[in-house]
Amino acid sequence: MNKLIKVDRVCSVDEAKAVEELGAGLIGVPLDPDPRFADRRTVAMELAAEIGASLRTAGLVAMVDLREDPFDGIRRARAIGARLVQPLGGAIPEPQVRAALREAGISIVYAGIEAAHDDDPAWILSRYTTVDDLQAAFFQVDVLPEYRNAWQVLRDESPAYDDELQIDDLNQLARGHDLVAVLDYTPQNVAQIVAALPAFRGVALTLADHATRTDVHFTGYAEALEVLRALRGGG
Amino acid sequence: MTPPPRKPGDGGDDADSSSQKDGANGPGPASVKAGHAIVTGRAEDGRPGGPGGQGTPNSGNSPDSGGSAPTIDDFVNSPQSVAGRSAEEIAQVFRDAGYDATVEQSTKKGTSGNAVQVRIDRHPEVTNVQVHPGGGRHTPAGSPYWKISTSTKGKIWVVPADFKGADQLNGTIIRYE
Repeated sequence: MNKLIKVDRVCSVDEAKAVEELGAGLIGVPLDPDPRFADRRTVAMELAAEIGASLRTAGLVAMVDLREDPFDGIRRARAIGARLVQPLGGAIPEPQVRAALREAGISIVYAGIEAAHDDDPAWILSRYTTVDDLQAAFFQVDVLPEYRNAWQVLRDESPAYDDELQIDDLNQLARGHDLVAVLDYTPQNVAQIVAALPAFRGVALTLADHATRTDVHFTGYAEALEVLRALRGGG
Repeated sequence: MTPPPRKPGDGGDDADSSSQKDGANGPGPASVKAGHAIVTGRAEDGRPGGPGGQGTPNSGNSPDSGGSAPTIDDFVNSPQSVAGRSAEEIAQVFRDAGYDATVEQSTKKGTSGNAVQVRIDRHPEVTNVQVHPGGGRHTPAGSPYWKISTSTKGKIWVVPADFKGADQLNGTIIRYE
């Protein structure tokens, strides 16, 4: 692996600088509200541009809703200097939208992809692999979001059920596709997860205070910093 | 306690109540048991819906499927209405409404390796529906459960009475019997 560290829903210059200093290579800024979360983590264009300008090496990801007015979403992504967009809701933009993104030099992060314990590995990306010219940078997979202790279940319980999704299945999938993993990261488990998923391109943390659903992994800002410190070996 | 039989569309509270766990809901349509029996029989043959996992197309009006043909709104508002439905039946409901629905057979080994997913494209809420024949972590072989994944409400598990582990799952749990 899996050296890429991505932090989503960053909402201030201070947050961006802090996570970048702790190794984040991609910073997601939410330009539109994400219905999965019940918090105020949405930033105005001006602030998003400030966040982008404050980054020394990390890349900026515009987390934007491309469903209602996709070309306005592209305009906003360009305006803040993002080279990546992450469509909210996991939607695959229409072909003409993908073409416009390509023309603008912007690639797509497909996020919100769920890999449940009772999923067949072949199902996880089937929605995407059947589409031509996805303009995909990578796929961000939320692993076992139906479990709060997802990593523990995957590591300790799933091996007893050979018909369930296994760590090896995930690595196998990651060998064929660029995948970034979302899990229930803690300072205690993150290094172990990274070691167990060597085929993955990296890890992603989603900052949130409250969710509107139970089946989504997210991390509070303070804990996210601890996770990143642990990942650097300082935890 | 046994709630009264539901009318189509009056089950919205079920899916919205994310606190439902372990039997918080009563039975679905009266036809569910009949449909359950059909799918169970297929599961015991090793492939729900027949060879290739494509299911046996069903009009939805036959006694097998238990009464009137369901609609997508039924699935969204009364998720237990998927119980007893084969993957192909579920896919056809979406196709009839103009959505692309692809039936995908699991390739995993083991009893629940006979699970089937219906992938739905471009529906504003439902992204996929899975038919699990049982025999794994949650239910004994031949005791199927269904899982509806939505972009708005998360996952909805439509499960039998002998389903285990519901208290550990995030999402909405609805009993169909």
